[in-house]
Amino acid sequence: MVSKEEQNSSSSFQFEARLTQASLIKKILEAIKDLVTDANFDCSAEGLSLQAMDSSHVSLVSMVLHAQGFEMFQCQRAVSLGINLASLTKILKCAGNDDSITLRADEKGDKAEFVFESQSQDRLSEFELKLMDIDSEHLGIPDTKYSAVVEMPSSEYRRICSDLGLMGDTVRISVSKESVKFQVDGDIGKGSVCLHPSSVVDKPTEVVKISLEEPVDMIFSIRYLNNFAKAAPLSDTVTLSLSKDFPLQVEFKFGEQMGYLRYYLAPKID
Amino acid sequence: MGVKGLWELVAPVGRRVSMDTVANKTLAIDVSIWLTQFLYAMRDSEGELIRNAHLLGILRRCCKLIFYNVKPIFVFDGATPQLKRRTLISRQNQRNKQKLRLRRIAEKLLLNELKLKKLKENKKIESKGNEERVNPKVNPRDLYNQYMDTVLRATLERSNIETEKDTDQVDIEAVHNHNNNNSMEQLESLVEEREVEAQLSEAEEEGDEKEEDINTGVSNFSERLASSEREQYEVPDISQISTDSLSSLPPEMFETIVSEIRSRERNLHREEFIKAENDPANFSKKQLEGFLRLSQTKKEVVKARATAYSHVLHGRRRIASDPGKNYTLTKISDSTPENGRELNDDGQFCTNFRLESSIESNNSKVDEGLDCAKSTSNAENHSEFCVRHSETKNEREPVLILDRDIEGSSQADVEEDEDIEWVACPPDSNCNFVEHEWTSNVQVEWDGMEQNIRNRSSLCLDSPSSADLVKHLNEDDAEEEDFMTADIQSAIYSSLANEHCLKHEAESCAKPCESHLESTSKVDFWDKEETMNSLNSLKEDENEVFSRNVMSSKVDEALHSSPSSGNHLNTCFEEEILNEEEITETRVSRDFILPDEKLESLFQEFENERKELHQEFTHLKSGSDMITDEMCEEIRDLLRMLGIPYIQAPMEAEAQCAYFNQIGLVEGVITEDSDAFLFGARTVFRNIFEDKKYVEQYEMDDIERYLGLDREKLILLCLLLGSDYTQGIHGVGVVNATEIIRAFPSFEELKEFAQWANQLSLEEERLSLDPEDPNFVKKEFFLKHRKMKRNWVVHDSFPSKHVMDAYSYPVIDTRSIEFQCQRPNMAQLVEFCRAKFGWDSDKVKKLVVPVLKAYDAKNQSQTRIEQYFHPMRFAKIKSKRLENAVRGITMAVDEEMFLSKSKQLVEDVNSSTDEKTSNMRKRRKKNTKDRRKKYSYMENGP
Repeated sequence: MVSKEEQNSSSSFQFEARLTQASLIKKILEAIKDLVTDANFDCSAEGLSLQAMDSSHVSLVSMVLHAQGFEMFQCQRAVSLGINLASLTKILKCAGNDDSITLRADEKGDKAEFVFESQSQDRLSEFELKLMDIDSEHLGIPDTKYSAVVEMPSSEYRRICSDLGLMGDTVRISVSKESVKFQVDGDIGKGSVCLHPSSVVDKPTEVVKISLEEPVDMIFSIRYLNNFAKAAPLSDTVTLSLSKDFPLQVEFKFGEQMGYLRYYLAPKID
Repeated sequence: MGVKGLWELVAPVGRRVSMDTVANKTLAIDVSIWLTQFLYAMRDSEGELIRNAHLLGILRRCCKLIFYNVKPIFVFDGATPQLKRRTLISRQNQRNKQKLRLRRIAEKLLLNELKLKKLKENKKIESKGNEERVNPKVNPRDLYNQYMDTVLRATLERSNIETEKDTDQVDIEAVHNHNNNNSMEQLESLVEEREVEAQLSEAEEEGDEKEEDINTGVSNFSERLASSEREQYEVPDISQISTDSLSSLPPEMFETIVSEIRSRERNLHREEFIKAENDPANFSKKQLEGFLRLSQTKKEVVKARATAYSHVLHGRRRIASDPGKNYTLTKISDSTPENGRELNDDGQFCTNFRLESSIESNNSKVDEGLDCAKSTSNAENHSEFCVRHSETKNEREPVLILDRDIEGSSQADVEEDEDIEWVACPPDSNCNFVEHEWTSNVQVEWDGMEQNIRNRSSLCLDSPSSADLVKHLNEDDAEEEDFMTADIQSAIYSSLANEHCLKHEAESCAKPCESHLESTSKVDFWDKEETMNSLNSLKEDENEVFSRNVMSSKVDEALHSSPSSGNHLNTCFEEEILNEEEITETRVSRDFILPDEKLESLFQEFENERKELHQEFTHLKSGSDMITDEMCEEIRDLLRMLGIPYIQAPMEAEAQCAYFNQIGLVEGVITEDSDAFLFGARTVFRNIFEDKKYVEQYEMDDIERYLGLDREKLILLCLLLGSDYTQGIHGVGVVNATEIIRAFPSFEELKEFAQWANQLSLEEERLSLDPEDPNFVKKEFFLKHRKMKRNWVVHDSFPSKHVMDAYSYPVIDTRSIEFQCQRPNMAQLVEFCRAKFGWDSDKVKKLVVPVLKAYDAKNQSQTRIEQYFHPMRFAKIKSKRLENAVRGITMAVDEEMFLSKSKQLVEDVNSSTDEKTSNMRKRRKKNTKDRRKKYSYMENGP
């Protein structure tokens, strides 16, 4: 599975990578395209990564696909592919979920090539996408030990966010040893959802886990949390990490060693 | 401002953060820099300062701060530190120089405008082609008159600008001479010519020059015009100096100028007398004129002195609200009528125009004159005209009856001391006397609604009594000045009295004018036309020259009245243009007709030049305003209304801000002045009002950590680079300074550096470099900079302990102060904005309501991601040498800061050349552009 053909001079491409499942890329794109319009896909020997802020600079998307997660990954030099996500979505619509997808960037660096191959290898489609020059600020995300880490089913996360989103625009997330509580105080009234850590571990995907250093009580904009919920198809579980006076981290893992999609959301303050 | 080049040095550790980062922070602000910025930047397209720019700027900025929940504390500058004075003085000099330059540019602009106009006229003439009436009496002086008109107009326009901008009174007196060639041609005799020339006053002489070279003359003239502005470095003719400008000078300077004027005046007279010595009549006239001028000068000086000292007595003059914005335009034109019957006849046509704006409008002319004289020093100035017509229309009859009774008339005249213009009426000629005078209200002037217009009569005299005059003059010589003046007046009146019939006619001409005295300038204009027409009918047998003169004078009238007429301005100008066209028609200017294409190109050239000059003019003007105490007081009022606390620093506001920051009273300092770091500020926000979203944030911690520069080293840097307190070392920039600091990191060691830099020997050549040597860094430095030091100018006082201490231990207020922001007071703000900016309450609410909302809704503000995750830095160290120096000073190096390093990283990874990268970027840029136009993607199926 891991095939790093480094310094393969036979290839005329600076960067070439193949994923067996186009669906992963499609889902990732679905999960971020509402937050971010244009983004640089940074290709390096380590893998493919993306970091972008939403237009109001309240949230940050950070996606990493490790090189070992690809069927084939080859990067002669670091390139940064400036892509309009709406355009990429159009191209990816042409790929079947089970198609394999090959991404190439040549030396000129003004376009990226996408090759979709069906599982039975009887259909091959090729697309070329013009690249853009995107000035983006790269933020340094400090390594942090969060005070509270909550793991929960992503479907549960999605449901809470969409339910509470109907009530108001801000949600108060309070994490204690016993529970994690989502409270909303809106114009029509208030409401709350409280989750307790699962005592019995039946299905690993439905587990609620809380690891706590110290209790946290913070407020966030529901709109953004709802946006993050679009990544739910990527992973069965979601991890919310909170620290006082620090952005909330919402992480969706793509599976073992593949990579992750993380959202950061700046808190609201009283 | 600040330490030269320090911002450049610290830029690599600065971070661009969102405005939200500063939300909820308490920040100290040095107001003085803001004010300077406002005065410099807040200008309209003409380069004029926007009214109450300082207040508007403060209001806008405060609104922004409150909107972002910043709690600002404003700090005002206190006394000026001794060290800074020198800088301030040099800045003052700079400003003066700039004003000189401004003047020069203004002159150029004027000249250019003249040329342009001439070209336009020529075009017009050419288009008329053969229809053109060919007048054999080509008169270059007419051309010159045209030029003068333009000059006057331009001057007026400029004076408009300046009266508004510069609250000082601007007086422009244009002395303008029409010397008619026609009559000269007819008279033709040498004697006559010499006489005419002798008659010419200084301005007339200029006119002669213009005959030869119109352009040069015009430029001379415009120079003189310009020189009548406030800053006078060469002492011009007294007629070009207004009392106001004189009196606004410092007393010592005033005295110097006055004495100079006097001596010059005297010399001038002597010269004129010599010229006229062969002709007794003329000589006496010269004497008369000279005397008149001298006494005028003297009176003006006396008045000016009184005003000047009254200013001193009354303390500082209010600049912002000078009630009597005045300008005066005087035009005197002399012409020699053509039908001089006797050889010695000398016609002189004098037109004195004056436009006066005074704050009071009066109906009674006599009283008006007096009141005007009182209310504005300018008017006083003119009341000093040595020979006066004291009579108003209704008084004329008695005066005429006065006969030759010298004493009687002089008494009457002296008593009725008013500002009526005098027009010279030389004897034995058909002298045409037209006097127009307007007095208009200043405020009204700009609105153009009501004005008090005074139209002076036109008189036609034919007086035989030159001998009389001479006699009077001789008598007068012995007498006291005031009486003498009166004598001359009476003499003139007596000569006036000789011509009853003509006078009656003149009166009849004047009557229509009188009946419309209170009318607007437009109506007035027509009145004058009437006057002129009747004058023409009166003088039907007379030459065209006269009518033309009247015409042009009328043009000038319209011109002069136009600024005061505001709304009527356009109409007047239109009419003026019409008239000018007429004049143009009656004249052939063959000399000036050029081939079309050449004309076109010239036109273009001038047009471009005008644009350039205008730009420069605007630019220069923006640097010429000063901050006044009054402004600060107004700002304090505004801050109180906005609920923003402020304090007055004992000395430098910057130091006080920095101190607050040091003790943690505020979380940062908003400033554009890099001195703040030297005074000990920890967090500095810069360019907070430049961008909508971002602010540059500089942390002293970063500077210490990544640049290795602590406060002491920054001060040492400042000694090298120069600041408000010290000149620094000429030739040392940021890079060299950093290298010097690296090699000599303390004050004591800097002395060593100074010693080395002042040495002339080249012993460095012999230095051997050994990395193990403890002095390696220094030696290396010596070696590398041995050539550079020749260009460095190290002052003896370097390094100055005083400067060091001034930064290390600034005079500050160390009392513990508690600041509390208040909610902005809406009602007061509405009132304030109405008074200061003329805004209605809706406009104020539009601005303030969102601010109040933000102030009230302080809870639950959304933070931004950059507050937690630091963005990449926006600037990198570009200089390799600087990079090495920084590396040398500090151990902890953030590679992000260096351009070379990041480049290197990329280069390590890729084998491609820079060219490729740039190509790639180019192509992508193109893509981006294309995509923005219309998105499309290529599809290549198998």
